[in-house]
Amino acid sequence: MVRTQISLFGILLIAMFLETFIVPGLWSTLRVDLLIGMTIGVIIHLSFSQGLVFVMVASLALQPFSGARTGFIPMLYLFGFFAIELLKSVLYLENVQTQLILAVIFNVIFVEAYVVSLDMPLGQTEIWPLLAGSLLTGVLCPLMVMVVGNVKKACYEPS
Amino acid sequence: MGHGNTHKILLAVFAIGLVLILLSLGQDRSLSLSSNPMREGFSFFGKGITLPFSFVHGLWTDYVALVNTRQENKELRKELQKTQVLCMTMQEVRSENERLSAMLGFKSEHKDFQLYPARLLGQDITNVFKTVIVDRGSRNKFFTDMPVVSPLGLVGRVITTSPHTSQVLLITDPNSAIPAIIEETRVKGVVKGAGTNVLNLEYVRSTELVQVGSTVVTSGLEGIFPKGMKIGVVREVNRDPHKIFTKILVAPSVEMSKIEGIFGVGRNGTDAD
Repeated sequence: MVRTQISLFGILLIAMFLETFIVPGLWSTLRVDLLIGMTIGVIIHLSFSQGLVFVMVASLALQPFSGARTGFIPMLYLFGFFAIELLKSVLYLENVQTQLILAVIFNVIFVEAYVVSLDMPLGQTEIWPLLAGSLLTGVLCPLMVMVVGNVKKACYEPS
Repeated sequence: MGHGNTHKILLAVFAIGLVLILLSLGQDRSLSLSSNPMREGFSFFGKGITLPFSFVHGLWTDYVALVNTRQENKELRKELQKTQVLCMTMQEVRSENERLSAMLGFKSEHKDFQLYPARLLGQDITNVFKTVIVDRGSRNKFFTDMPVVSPLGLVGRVITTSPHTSQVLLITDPNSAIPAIIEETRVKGVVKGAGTNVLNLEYVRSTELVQVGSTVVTSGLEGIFPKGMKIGVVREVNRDPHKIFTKILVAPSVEMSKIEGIFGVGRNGTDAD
């Protein structure tokens, strides 16, 4: 369990670095969320408790990189984790298309949640970067799921 | 109910409880200090890894994108000449102002401040909140609530610092509110961010005279921002006779998506690195 978590956090650090320093450097208003893909990955490949611990700590680690109210980002990812965990019994999450669509939907929900929390009129955010970011998040989601799966295999730990 | 389910529910309740505690802390930034080492580490990595990107970007902007530069150069020279004349006039006005201020026994406001340069490292992880991370921190005399400016105007203020990085809340962030004044008519209001590239000037009465194109500057009332820093220009005025306040949109003088180099405004007598 420890080896898996450490490996996942190593990958998360790289993902966070890409999200805050590299992606905005290429297009300042573009944001790609790689943690959503990892969240789906841990739901598929790891046990509930391992996944929950990872999502909680990972979303807390995102806090210093945002101006969001303390606890708001963990709350959203926790909501995402529970929602996808529930959907696990309804949807076949191993399907790549399902992962892509789920990631796009959750990315849009998260952005809209930020917008609502700030009492901003809906649709006022720049729409093109949001759409591009959601689409990229969706496209990269299966890759992140695969990465989590490979980490689990490499660590030889039964879930 | 099986043992596995009880375990899951307990974990979920614990996680929700933790989130509620965090939310109840509100905007207490001290909590994020524990995560600052991560931001610190990223800043060192960032400088190294973004170097090739900066090189390619530099190659593009310094060589490839220099088409039409000659024509632009001519126009800029003309502009510079005009500005120099304007500057000389302003110098006169400034000297006169300083003399009058001295006569009244006031200190010149800008003598109390010193500019500390910083470079943009990263941006907010969400697309909604408008914060940036810069490569100067508490060891470089950056402090919480320090005003941040660019040569074009006000950028925002520092909200958290670590030894080598600081997080800056931009004036376009919905959490930002700055007491402001319209330079020409001295009408007071509060400039609030809207999460977009337009700001709202609020609490201006419908009876007040506000014209499109007027300059909006800081009023210095809350004690964070020095008085007279340019925020932007009035872009739209919507008066409703049935409402007490006028809806005023302000275009910020700084284009936030293009900022690179910024300055922290510190008090005089402190040394920057």
